[in-house]
Amino acid sequence: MNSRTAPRAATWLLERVGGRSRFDPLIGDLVEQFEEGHSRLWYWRQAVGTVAIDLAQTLRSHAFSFIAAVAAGFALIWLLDAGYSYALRPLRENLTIVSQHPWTAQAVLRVAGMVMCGLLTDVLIFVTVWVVTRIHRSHRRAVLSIFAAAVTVRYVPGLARLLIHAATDPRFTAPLVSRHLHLMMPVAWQALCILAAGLWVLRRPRFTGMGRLTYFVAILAGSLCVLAGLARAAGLVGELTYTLHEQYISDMLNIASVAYLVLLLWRPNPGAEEQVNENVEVASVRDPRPSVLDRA
Amino acid sequence: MRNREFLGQHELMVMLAVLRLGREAYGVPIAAEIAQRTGREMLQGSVYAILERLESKGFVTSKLGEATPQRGGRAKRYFALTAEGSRHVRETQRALEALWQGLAKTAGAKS
Repeated sequence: MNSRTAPRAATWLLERVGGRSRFDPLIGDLVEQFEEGHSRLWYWRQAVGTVAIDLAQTLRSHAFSFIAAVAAGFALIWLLDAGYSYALRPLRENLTIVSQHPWTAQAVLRVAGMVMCGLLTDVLIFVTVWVVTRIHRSHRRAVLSIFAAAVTVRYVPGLARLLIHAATDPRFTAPLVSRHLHLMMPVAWQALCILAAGLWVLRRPRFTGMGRLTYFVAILAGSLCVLAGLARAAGLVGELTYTLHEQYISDMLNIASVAYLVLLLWRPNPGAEEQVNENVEVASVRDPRPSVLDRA
Repeated sequence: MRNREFLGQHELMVMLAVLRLGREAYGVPIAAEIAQRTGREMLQGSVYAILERLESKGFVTSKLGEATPQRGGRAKRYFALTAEGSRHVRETQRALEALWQGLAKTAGAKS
């Protein structure tokens, strides 16, 4: 029998969006039709269309709480940005002096201060995401995705203006575009941080189920993120000088590490039905007495 | 006057397809029936979204069927109309027929 394999990435997408128990019959239908001769493009069109319909339906039926969640998230992000720039200003003001003598106690303290600021930002992102996902508990993943998208979308007009400028102005050279795009890295970084933090909040019990190798790779990826942050901080005080090319590699490594952590944490929810069944089974094992319904 | 909720166009199409298919009404034949009878291709996800909405309104029920290797080991979900659903289909049909009365002959005519 000559059987084909349906696009795994598309199936994976459906499983993550809808949950295995909810979309299982739908995925079965798509697999059945794919086996009957539909193309891979058809399968992808069905998967992406289904995700879009599901998101639109969720948004339509819970519009008010979604808006409230995103507004609360934006308010917290705004506070976070304001607090961050206020805390970093005194450190940045003296960076030029420090860069001449990078290994003095003063310089080390400043780097430590900047790293602490960075860590504090990460903690505050966790808090923000926690608040956002608490506002609408029944569709936490959808709220989280919308919030991450909203945070990223606010940079799109600036990016579009930059690209138009680059295309129309001959003096706007390629290295300058490259440098500006490099400034956009933090945008991707912030969105990924939000997603990673949110997924961690949603999936905390899953940490206990990790295999040893997975756990090791996760720690390695996390360590790479911290190292990249430290390298950036050291670069700011002048100890490490690297080219734009090397900065790109460093940032890509950083983002790839976070993306890996995101993928690791983005696992489908066990169906509520399964959990209920498990609870019933556990209850029946623990308590052999007949229930009220049985007695009736 | 009692408030009546009439079915939308897509809801009505899906419910009629379920009614036509009887015991064999699951996602694939429902979408195929609609495509064959109306010439409209509907996304499988769209069919399920409508069926979930109808189920939440109490117009259809569903139950899981057998899982086959051809479906990657995934079960089929069979749908059937409830008595409430059947009543709504009939009410919508009556309302549409009442609106069509007298228009059938002139609808396609050029003025």
